[in-house]
Amino acid sequence: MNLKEIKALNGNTVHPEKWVDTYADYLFGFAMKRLDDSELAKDLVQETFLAALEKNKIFEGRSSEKTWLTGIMKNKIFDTYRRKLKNLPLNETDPFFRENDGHWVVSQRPKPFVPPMEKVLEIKELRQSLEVCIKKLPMAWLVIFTMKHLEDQSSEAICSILNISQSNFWVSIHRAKLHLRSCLQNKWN
Amino acid sequence: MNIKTNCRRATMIIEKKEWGSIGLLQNLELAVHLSWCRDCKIYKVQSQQLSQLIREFILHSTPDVSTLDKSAKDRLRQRIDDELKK
Repeated sequence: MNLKEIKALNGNTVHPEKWVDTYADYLFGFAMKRLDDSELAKDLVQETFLAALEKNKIFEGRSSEKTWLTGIMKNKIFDTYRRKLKNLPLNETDPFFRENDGHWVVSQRPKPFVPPMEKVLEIKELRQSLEVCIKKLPMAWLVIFTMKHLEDQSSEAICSILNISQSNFWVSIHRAKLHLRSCLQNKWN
Repeated sequence: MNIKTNCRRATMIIEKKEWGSIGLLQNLELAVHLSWCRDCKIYKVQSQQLSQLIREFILHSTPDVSTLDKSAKDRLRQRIDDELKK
């Protein structure tokens, strides 16, 4: 299909010859924020453009070209998440609670954090330790938080988009919090 | 309802509560547990603080690179051109 045909089909609303200049950086940044992997993000920008060229008949000018391309990119990111979530780390042993009665293991018992929580993001060392502890979490767990905060999705929507069960979802959230809390207690107290 | 809820279960209910998905009985179960368990009381406060920090971190962190280099863009342009000529 040539450019003229695409234009004719879509009433002059799609301009693939300008996509790289107009949207490549935007789409790359969008993917980076959600995947933090530059090679993967680069590939997804190309895949988005190619899928858009193929699917251009679907674009009927109801949304802007940018929204349309962003939607395609978002679906590619969700596909990537689903692939990553096939390896949800659910079977690791639980270091936090006693096997027999489910109460806290003594060394894991929560103690109040020493630094003032409202200053964590302002004080460089505290912010850095937070970043280190967050980045230690398995990607699959972080995906859930990313979807909650960047896509503003409910727990039900996240489970359905990621194709995971409610119970795996809650175990992931719970474990992520426990690991993060424990990591910060070691660094901050 | 489980009157002698353990900490593993109580902390899970705390997480669910933050997402707004617990019922009256679980709420009561948690309240009973928190009335005697100091550790989980601390956890509850920290869990909310951590949620807030995770939120701020995700919303405001900027990736190391956020633009494509020239050669990557040239390759993309070429690829689109090729497709358009097909």
